[in-house]
Amino acid sequence: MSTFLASGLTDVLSDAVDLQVQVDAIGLGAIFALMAVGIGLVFGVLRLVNFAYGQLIMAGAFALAFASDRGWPVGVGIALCFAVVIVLSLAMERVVFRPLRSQSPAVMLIATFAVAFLLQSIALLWFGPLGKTVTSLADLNRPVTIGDVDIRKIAIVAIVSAAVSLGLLVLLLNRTSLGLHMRAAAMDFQTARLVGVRANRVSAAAVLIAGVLAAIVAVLLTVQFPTVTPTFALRETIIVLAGVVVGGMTRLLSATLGGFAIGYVSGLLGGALPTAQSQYLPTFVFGLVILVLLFRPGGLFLRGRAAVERV
Amino acid sequence: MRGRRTALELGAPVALVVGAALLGVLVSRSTEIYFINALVSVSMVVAIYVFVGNSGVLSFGHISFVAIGVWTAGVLSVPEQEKPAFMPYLFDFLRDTTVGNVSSLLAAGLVGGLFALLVGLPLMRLSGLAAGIATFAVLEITNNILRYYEKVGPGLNTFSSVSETTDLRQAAIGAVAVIVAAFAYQRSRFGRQLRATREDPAAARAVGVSVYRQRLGAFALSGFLAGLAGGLYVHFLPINVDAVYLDLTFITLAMLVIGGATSLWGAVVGALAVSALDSVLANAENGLELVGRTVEVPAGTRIVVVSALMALVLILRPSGLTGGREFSVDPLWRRLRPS
Amino acid sequence: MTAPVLGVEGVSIGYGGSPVVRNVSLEVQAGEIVGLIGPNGAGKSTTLHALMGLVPLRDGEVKLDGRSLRGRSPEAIARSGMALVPEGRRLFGELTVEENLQLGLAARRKNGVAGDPLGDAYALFPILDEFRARPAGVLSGGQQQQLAIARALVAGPRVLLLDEPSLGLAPTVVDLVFSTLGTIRDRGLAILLVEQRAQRTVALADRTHVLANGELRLTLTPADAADTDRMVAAYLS
Repeated sequence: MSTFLASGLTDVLSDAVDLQVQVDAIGLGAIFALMAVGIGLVFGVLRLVNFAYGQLIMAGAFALAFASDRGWPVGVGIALCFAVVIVLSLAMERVVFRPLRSQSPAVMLIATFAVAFLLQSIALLWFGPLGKTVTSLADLNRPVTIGDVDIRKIAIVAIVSAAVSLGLLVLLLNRTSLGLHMRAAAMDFQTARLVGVRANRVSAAAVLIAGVLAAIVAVLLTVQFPTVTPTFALRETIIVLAGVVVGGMTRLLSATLGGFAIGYVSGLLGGALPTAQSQYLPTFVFGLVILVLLFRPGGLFLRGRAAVERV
Repeated sequence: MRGRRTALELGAPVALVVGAALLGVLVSRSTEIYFINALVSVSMVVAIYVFVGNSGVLSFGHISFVAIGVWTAGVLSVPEQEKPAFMPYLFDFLRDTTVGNVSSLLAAGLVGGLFALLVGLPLMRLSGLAAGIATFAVLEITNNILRYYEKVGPGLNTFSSVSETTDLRQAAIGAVAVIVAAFAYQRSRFGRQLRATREDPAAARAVGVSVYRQRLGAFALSGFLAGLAGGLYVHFLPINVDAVYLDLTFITLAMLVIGGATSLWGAVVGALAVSALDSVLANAENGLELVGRTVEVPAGTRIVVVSALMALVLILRPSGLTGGREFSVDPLWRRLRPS
Repeated sequence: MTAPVLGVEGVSIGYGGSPVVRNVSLEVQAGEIVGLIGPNGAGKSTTLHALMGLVPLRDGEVKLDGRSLRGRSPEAIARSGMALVPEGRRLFGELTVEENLQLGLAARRKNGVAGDPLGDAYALFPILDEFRARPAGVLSGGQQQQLAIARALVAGPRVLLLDEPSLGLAPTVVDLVFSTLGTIRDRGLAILLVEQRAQRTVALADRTHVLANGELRLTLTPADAADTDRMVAAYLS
């Protein structure tokens, strides 16, 4: 029995250190990190957990499918994807987030839950349960040979896009006055308003940036999963949310690390573990979420106070 | 008069439920199903209300107690010879035990309540957003385990061969029982103490109320009631693990929010109103006769309408249709006076 | 008699039952300090919060240069030229001193007024220049108070509201803060100073109102600073 386990473990480990698996896992981690930033940014500034974030990604993916169906050039498809996601994000901010600003975070959580279902059911109505397939980006899913290893182009694109986006975001937050306003609003919204920071403007900016990130994620995910269904990205949103909570919701860096970590681990386990063992992955992940909320509510990557009330 | 108010607080929801049941008797067999569904929903939503409404703490996880109830009642009710057909890996004692209708319901409640107690022990320290996320995690974990752990149930298979004992009468009795329990709780000392923590946690603590203990009590009770509702559910329809997951979580929360999360009346009104709307739309999806013309509404419109309604209520009238108040016949001017 | 920069007319504030502040009227001219003192819970902070739009007015008017501010958002009021130095300073501890000041610029109206608001702030409070790149959280209480005032000033406001600036500060630091307020007054700002230290406030301000139980009871002048009997009577009435 023990030798059986030992050989199984070495199999898993040797699979895990395979460069291909590593790069794929980092690629997935990069995509999840982008989602984590989107979720974390909106949470930081608006104190709102957007359950419907996955639906933004879904909408972007459907836009790509729409363009792909009509044989439009890839660039047009991507532009449409961005346009749809941004418009939808801003509409959400105006119609749902802003009126609920004075409510408790729990009420806002339910509201975004309702919006998530609303968008999902509209997509179901419009596109049917089988969804649509995007063919125009298929080329990126093919591998390129580096040295004697095959690495899928998309993994590289994902890592580079994530690095560039995050780099730009850091510049925005630290070097511009808008970024300063956003950081201040995330720390103490009321005092920020007192010194003249425009609440509506920083809200819209946070939502807009999160929307742009969602659009990028939509493109990246569609390459790897060309069939877009109404539940597209819902699973991923929940998992990223878990990662953000575990990493630490109240700081963007820790939230991003949490998202990356969970994406990376999922990628590793998905590539290296046989299905039987990875079945209970959600249990471990969500078990970890509960443990973190109870004992380290600031998250694993964070020291200090947390924005969580306890009795 | 206090006596009259008490009587109305219990009587109104019960009357509504009984009225719905009587109406169900009058309709055709195929339509009756919607009524039974509505009454089972009442049980679920009132169970959720017992915790969420009295404590003011959000819980996304109550459907996991319903699921536990479904599994308990289902596994114990399937006749012994049928079990291996779709539950071949059951633990021995589960495989060898089969109980009757009422026993299965009670067992469902007890296991649900016990599970809620265990889950609540650590979780009731949390409030607000953390509680919402933690209870959501409980939903995910429960779903994951029930889905793959085939020693305790059918796993991915659907419950079949469960005796269909939840007819209109059982659903109505179940709903009334849950309502009576909820009423008894909220009128009790414990319920009142918990409501105090909802209104003003600091003041409640100052007079010696243990927020943690009161919440835990309500959580366990609502787990029991939700488990019971799960038992009713599995004796009504063939249930699989996806039927007690996100969609049911959404619709029951929608019912509670739309009706008014902070009152028993709100929970019952919400459950029945949304069920009615849902049934009408479900019918419309099959073609609805409206002023001589057949209106056909595409499949899936129901969830669009219900979720849009839920979002609207949250934005425009967060206290729900009933304003979060119990049923009352006070004249309008008395209600407008500042409290 | 010129129109006051800040006009508070018959203001009542309250949630639910009885108002917390009832029928308060006062005015502040340019280049003067008006004090507002009173026991704890009298409603002084609430009044300042209402002036900044953080709390809704039940009744009455708030006017800046004759224009009503009623119903406007806190950031709109800040941009109109009213600045609050909040109780407890409410600085952004993790941002640097310079960043805290840059935040204050958010309320600065773009009316083409040339100048170097940050430079002026560093000139007025040299200690802040020293700590320019350090996080605001490492400053001492007195230094933080100076930063909080400087942050309010860089917006170029017409009215400066201060909520208990001397709270928790050593007497020498209080001296510094109060003398700085005098300097700011001389630059033409209208200042409304809410304080617990009654005697010092009465001595500094051109006029000091006493707020007790939500109502204005009495007005004192610097001449009354030495008259402790009248002060005690003012509190107990």
